Amino acid sequence: MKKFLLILNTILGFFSFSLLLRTDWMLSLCVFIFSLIYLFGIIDMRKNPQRIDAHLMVGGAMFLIVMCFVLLRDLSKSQFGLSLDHLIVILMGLIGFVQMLTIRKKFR
Amino acid sequence: MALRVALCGNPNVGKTSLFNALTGMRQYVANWAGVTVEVKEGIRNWRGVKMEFIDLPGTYSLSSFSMDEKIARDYLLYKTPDILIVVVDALSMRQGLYLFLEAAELDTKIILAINAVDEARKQGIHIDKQELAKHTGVPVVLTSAVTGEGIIELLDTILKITSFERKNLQFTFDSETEKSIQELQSILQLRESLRGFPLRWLSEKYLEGDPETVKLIESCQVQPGLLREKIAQERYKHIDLIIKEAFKTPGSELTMSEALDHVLTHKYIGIPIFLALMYMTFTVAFEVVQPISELIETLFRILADALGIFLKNQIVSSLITDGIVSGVGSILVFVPNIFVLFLVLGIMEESGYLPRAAFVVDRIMYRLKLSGRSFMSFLLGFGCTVPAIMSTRGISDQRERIITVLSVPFISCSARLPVYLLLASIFFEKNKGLVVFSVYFLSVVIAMMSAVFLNKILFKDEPGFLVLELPRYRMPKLRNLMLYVWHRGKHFLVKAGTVIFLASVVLWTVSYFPVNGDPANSFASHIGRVVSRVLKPLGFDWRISTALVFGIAAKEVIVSALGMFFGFGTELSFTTTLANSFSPVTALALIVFVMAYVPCFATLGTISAEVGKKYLLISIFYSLAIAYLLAYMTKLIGGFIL
Repeated sequence: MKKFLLILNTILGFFSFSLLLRTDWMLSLCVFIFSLIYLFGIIDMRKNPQRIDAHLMVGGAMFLIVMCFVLLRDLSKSQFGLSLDHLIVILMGLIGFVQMLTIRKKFR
Repeated sequence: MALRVALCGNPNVGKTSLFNALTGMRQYVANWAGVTVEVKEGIRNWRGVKMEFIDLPGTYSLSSFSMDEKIARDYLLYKTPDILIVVVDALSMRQGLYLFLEAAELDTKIILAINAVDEARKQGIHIDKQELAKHTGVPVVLTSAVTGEGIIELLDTILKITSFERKNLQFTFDSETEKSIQELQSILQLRESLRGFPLRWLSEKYLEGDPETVKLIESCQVQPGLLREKIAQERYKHIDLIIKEAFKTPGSELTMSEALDHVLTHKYIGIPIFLALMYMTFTVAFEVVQPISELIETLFRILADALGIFLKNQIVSSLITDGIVSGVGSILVFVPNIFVLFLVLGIMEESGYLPRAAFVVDRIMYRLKLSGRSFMSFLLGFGCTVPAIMSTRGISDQRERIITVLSVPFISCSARLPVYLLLASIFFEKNKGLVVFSVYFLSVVIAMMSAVFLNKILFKDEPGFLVLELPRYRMPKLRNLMLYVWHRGKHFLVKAGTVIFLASVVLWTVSYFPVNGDPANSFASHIGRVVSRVLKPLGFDWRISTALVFGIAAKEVIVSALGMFFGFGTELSFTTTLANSFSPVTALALIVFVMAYVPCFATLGTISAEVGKKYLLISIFYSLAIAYLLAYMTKLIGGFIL
């Protein structure tokens, strides 16, 4: 399940990065960097299973921050129409929030 | 007479929080090491006894290598308090107990306060208080400055031990070390100049090679630093035994801090994550809050118009509307941005993330022949350059300290923010968040490059290692956040009512007279025209040049000055006049120049006090040269791009 989540989040992250690249290249760069957290989680998978949890938790937290950032910015510009690129970021933020809440209990 | 009680401990163990809890004061507390660089005092009356509490800077040992360590050590040695509370972090006992063993040799009564017990309990750590008291020979109190646990017990313990005779348990080394200590002690006993000093403590420090003690003892047939490693090894062996007996820790699974650190201080993605978060922080502070800033701007415009109608005298009307309201108002417009920026930075700092940035950047800093300790001062510089320069007291190497003092002013302090915001919102409206973030990023790059350059020119040495205890991650507390935002942001409001108010009146006077209301023929234009001869290659006319001259008093004054020089005698708003007066490239060159040129008066005073007048002069000419060079390069390169 954890591996699946890591792979899904990485793919979604890179997809979102490619969509945002045309409209907001700085935000797309941020999304790319946060997607790397999941990608490095896949690379770390063999070393220590608890590290996968760390990548999922921090990646989730970062996408939650990105989601809040996008919503706040749209709100300040009074742009409420949701585009596909923002929709994916919001979806990843929500997944990240659930991930974060579930996984944080596994650490001391 | 008040009972003098000093608090000492390792950096970031919660001494200042405990000090606040004991005295009821509100000293600024941060979730990172090195914030307290001076001695702070507070009074408390407890059960009829007056107590004077002293908060000492954090130190890892009583050997003094950096200035803040020296302050703590000297205070304990020369102004020995009646009672010393050694504060030890419950989650980082080893280093704390080392300091305790050193302090136990001083001629004072000691209480051991184990702080952050609430955090320890959360991690399943059990502390056996009785066992700890048995092994250390002093009263032990378990405290939590956050929840208030143990504070009353600590106050009562202070009262209780005042009536006892001093009876600290003395740590005994192996026979060979003990023999050396006692031999040296008997030599020192004969010295008149050392009468009154704790001689055993001095002997140990001398044998450890503590530079201050070696200087104090002067010539002696025993070689200084002879038993440095042996003494440290013996102490740690004893500490490990105490920990084994008094602490019970749970299994080996990762803690929350370890899990977060694994990703946030990652070798490859640690720095990009930090940069991405900083970009979002700046964008939130400048784009999201913009509607509130615009509302305040409108309110000031309405106020100026209303006052203009009521005031019949032309000079008084101009002084109040063009001078005071527009000068002070042009700064207050940016207060929401600044408060929100500090709120987000406060969350990052309070949560324990920001100090990780210093840790992550240390790898780069070491390659540049600097230690991450300099970066901590750079980080503080984002708020205000004055405390950033004061924080360099924590850098043990004097050469590295001077390099940092000369480089910190390049870091964009919050006073320069209104200038960036004003110009970015006029000339780069669509990308203002990005422009301001880039200027901040550039300021860090320039500060680091300056450090490398100075290191190569002035000194050719290897850097010191970063000894940085990473604070625990924690959920930021609303009260602490509010205090943080208020402490950092309030000086804008204070400045608006003092320096900027006065500067606005002076600016109005020099731009209104001698020809009533014609700035182009005013005193200001004469000053500006002289300076603009030098700044002409950068595209700066007399108005910008005069604004830059007045900006040395305080950087925010530049905004007031621009408002006045570009707002006088026109029907259009000053921002429109400003936009029509010069190109985006010149605006960018001006932003870069403001980022790097001479620091404000307060900073110059601090540089002089901390490292002397020689480096003050170097700082002024050095920053001017760098600013000119950078602005000129921006003008040249920007001309091709923009």
